[in-house]
Amino acid sequence: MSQDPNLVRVRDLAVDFKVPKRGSLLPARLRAVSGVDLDIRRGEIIGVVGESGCGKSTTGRAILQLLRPSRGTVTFDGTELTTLRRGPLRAMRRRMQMIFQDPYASLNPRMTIGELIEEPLLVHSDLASAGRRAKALETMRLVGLSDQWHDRYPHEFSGGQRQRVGIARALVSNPEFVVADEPVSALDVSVQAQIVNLLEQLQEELGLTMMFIAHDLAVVRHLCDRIAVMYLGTVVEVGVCEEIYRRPRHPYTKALLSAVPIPDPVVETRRQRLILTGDVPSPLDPPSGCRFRTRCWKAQEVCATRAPALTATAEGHQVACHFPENSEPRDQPAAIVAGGR
Amino acid sequence: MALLEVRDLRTEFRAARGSVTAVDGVSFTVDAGEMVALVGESGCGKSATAQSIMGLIVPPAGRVTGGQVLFEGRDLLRLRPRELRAVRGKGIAMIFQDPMTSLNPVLTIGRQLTESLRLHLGLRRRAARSRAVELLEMVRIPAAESRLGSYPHQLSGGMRQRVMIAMALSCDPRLILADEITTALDVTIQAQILELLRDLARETRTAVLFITHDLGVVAGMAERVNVMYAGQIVERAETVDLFHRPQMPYTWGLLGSVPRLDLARGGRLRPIAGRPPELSEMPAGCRFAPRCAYARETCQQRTPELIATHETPDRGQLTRCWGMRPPDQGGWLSTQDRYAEPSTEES
Repeated sequence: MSQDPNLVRVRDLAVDFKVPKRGSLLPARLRAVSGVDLDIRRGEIIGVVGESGCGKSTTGRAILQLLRPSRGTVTFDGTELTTLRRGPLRAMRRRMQMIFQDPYASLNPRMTIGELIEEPLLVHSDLASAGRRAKALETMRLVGLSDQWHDRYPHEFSGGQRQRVGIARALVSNPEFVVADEPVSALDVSVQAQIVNLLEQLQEELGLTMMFIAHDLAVVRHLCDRIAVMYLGTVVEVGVCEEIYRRPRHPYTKALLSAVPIPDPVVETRRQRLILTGDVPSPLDPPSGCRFRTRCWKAQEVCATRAPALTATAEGHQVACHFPENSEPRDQPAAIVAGGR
Repeated sequence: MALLEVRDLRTEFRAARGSVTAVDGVSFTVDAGEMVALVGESGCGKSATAQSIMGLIVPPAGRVTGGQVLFEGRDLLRLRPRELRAVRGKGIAMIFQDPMTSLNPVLTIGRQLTESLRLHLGLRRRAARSRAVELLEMVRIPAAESRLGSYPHQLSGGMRQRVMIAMALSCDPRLILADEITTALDVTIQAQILELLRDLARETRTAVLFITHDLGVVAGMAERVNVMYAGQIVERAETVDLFHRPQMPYTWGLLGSVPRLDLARGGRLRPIAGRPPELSEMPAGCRFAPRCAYARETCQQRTPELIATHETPDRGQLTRCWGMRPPDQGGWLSTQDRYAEPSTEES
């Protein structure tokens, strides 16, 4: 039997949160992720982008079962995770790890860097103390931290170095799959580029499969093979990165690309901006039908009554829209030529 | 005469041992109606510069220890508190990164807007209220009248920033200091707010000092740019020159660190090695030298001045770099070197 090209398969994933409701003893249900389908291929970096509250982090956490989904399935290398009991799930966790956004909040200030990096091995390996130490040092070198940092504490580190520690903690148990949740968003640009390069290099060397969650579309394009665009708890478009940047089919993807500032004043004055009106609606009370319709310039009656399903396009990516943009080929990424409404 | 002229500004903060200099000899100008950017990474002193201009550095935590802030010819640093209050709002208004911390959470939007109108412009209650509605309409807030009764927490981040812009514009200032105003916002909302500020500043001929860490944002907004590093301005240029002919290796590093959506996807990013120095451990000589791939011995020993570059002599472009001196004065760099692998060889 040939190996499944997909390491992770997500089907109809939904995650609910309970939030207090005014004037009621019972909490309201906030559906943060609503019916997400996603395949993650072995050895790829898939970027998940969208604005705050779109459910991208929640999706990442639900895949790793750090949040239990309310509905749907998550299959990891053939094993269904949502129904797995604690013990077997813990064993699976060695193979899938997470890198967090805030390297300040995710490291225990009272542990040394060595202890922090060894900690996952206490759970995920039966290495003795000397073996754990050797493995921790090896991982530190891998992420560009020299041995002398082993006995230091997190407060002695800069933001970029702490993120390296966070990456080392994720990689020390030799995972196959890593979810990186906004790993460079809190860093200054010069340091951000160092970490992006490190992730790129690690993915190549270790053959990792990675889900890279971010709101910076330029970084995602730089790093990722494929990209999934999320809006208000749903995936609106998925496909090969360069395809989507050149020929976005979903109006939201197009608007998102058009909003990214470009560090060139000549390009900036030449390009036509597509500026969305209004704010993202509350996930407590999402619009009927297509969730983007309240901000979409192409919305028609059908958009309010029927939610569009994710459908394959001729170019081989998938889009959830009743009136997708046409797909004439372009020489330049759509960010530049995005036209009016 | 420039609308705002900052001369040799120096601001210190109290630290565990002695004090640290956050702003060290910063000079720049903003002309009437012009949009000027101040760009740099965290800790470079850009916000401390803005706070010094507004008189928001409060002893004993910090102190402006030198220089002048000339606004329409008057040195703000020498004004009495009462005189300074008259300048704030009507002369210079400020918009901050996080509107949630600068709006009062227990007062309605209407109350906060009318307060400044009544205080600074002496409007009566009714006149202030109708002006407040006008202002909210000007910043494109739908159903403006009904929004007057809203509290800050009932508005989204983008709406709150619109309210802040409305408040800043309420007394017709000649200058707005905008400090990282879109950093906390999502990209589609950022685009809305930037467009709004750009349009309104143009319509009302208000000058803007636009402070940000994001070079992409600068490209579409400012006419001139000042790049700050470790408390000093290291490059100043017309926006087009800064992006097309950057002169300072630090600026090369900033531009090389961000992938660009409009260019073909290419190899690895070219980040800057290391990280900015601690304010308490400023290196001697050029402050960027320890991270600079092109630095030579001179750079570690002597501090370069911010001077006109020989590559763009008539464009008003200034840079603080030994390597970028004219070749006959010992310079060894040109903008071409930006893409070349640095040679470590001393000539």
